[in-house]
Amino acid sequence: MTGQHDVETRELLRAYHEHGDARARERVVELHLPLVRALARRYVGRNEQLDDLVQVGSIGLIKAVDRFELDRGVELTTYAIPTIIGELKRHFRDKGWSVHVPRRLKELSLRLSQLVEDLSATLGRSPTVAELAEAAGTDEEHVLEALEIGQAYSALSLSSGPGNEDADTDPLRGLGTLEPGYERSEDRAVLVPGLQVLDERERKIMHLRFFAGLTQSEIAAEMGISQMHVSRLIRRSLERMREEIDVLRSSRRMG
Amino acid sequence: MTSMLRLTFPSRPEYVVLSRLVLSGLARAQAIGPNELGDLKLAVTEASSNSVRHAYDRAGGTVEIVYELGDSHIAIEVWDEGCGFDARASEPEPGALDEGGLGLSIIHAVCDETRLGRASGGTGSWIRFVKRIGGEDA
Amino acid sequence: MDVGRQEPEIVTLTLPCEERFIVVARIVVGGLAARLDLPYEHLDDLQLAAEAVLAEPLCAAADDITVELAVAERCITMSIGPVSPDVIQSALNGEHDEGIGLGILLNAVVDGIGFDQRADGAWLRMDKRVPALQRNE
Repeated sequence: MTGQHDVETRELLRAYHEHGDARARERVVELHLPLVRALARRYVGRNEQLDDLVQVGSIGLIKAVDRFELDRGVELTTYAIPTIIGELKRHFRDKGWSVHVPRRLKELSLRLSQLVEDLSATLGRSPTVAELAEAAGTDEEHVLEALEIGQAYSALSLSSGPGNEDADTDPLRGLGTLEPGYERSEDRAVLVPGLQVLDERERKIMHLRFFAGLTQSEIAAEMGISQMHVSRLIRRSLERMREEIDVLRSSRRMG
Repeated sequence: MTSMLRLTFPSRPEYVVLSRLVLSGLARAQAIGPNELGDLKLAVTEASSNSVRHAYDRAGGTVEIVYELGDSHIAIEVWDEGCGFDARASEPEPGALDEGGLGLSIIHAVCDETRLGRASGGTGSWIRFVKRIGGEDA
Repeated sequence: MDVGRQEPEIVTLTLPCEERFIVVARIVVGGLAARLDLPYEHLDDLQLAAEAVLAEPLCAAADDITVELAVAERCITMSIGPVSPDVIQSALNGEHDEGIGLGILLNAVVDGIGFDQRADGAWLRMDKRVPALQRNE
């Protein structure tokens, strides 16, 4: 706001607050719409139209104009910014679109898992994050965040529930497709003590990924599960092996 | 007990998203409420964008961001090799509703403390902002 | 991202050697790889490589470690260091390892592995090629 702008604003606010001049109120709101627009632009995502957000932000501006106290010594601009931002944030909360809420990220994660499969089939290759974001109707940033959500190895991920991929898997299910002679292989894979802590399916995935040279998508196709699930299982397996190795090492030290 | 993380990237707009992604990662490492995370992402975007905006006249240049993670606060310092938010002073219309002025106002509005400074012994400037965290359901 | 430039563009992330911060490295690696249009499974591989290296007890004297990402044409080079050269060497060779072995793991997920001696110590370098995408449109 220029110095001239500030002076005019103060005069209009005075006219409104001290003399009830409704046109002055309109005029001061109009003068500050560029501010609302500039703030609304920060919040525009794939699902939002700038005009809708400007509407929302304007509510904040009007509240600020109405609540403004002339003797406080701040400019309207400074005073209005938190109020406008507050309205924008409330708008997202009400619509349930704050992606930072863990539940929303979990929902996105589940959708992404299916989208990876669908897009892989359509494209003939693993999709890029940009392609996933477009298909999911969200930003690349949120896709990257949601991909991490799927990775948490916690007791929660082992509980059954709708959409939980772990719920419908029987650890023995992969057994039917084991190559004959797998158990007798001289391959390092079998000689690795750490692998003992894994179940049959996990052991097979680790073997395919690190000793048989299959990619994640190839393993997913082989095992009939999603790529994201393969990724999760690999990471979980590595983490469990690390824990087991720590246990083995400390018991060896004590023994 | 504070932990420090440091991110550096070229002064170009396409890298600004990384400054937010670090916060996304920190939110997995420590309880940060969704409101607080949103505010911090907004603030770091404003600071990073401002650093990148004034880099056009220099070939190259790096932005450096230090994230200081405490039990109940996060402090972020954004360093660049230019004049930071002070660039406003050299604009033809000082105080106009320019991106720099607005950016600083936004950071003020969503953080608990904000400080600006010049880097000692050379060109460069920094902005530091602090926000209390853990005050809402994470 | 101007992949036509001759010099690689560098992004660095310095973090404490603590397990809880590995996710920050993962997500920054992911962010950079995403901008280069690295397909999901390759991006996931690069993230796994970063995590596997950072999960090894290989921080040198300091409590911090740095992940450096160099973006060049069609290739991301991820360097992690400084690391203790003995620890990383034996991890790569799979000595005393009851696990998969870092060398075997990295061979599956990245395209090249090397060592660089820098002023502050040894750095482990990994390359990941960015494939040219076919788009069915």
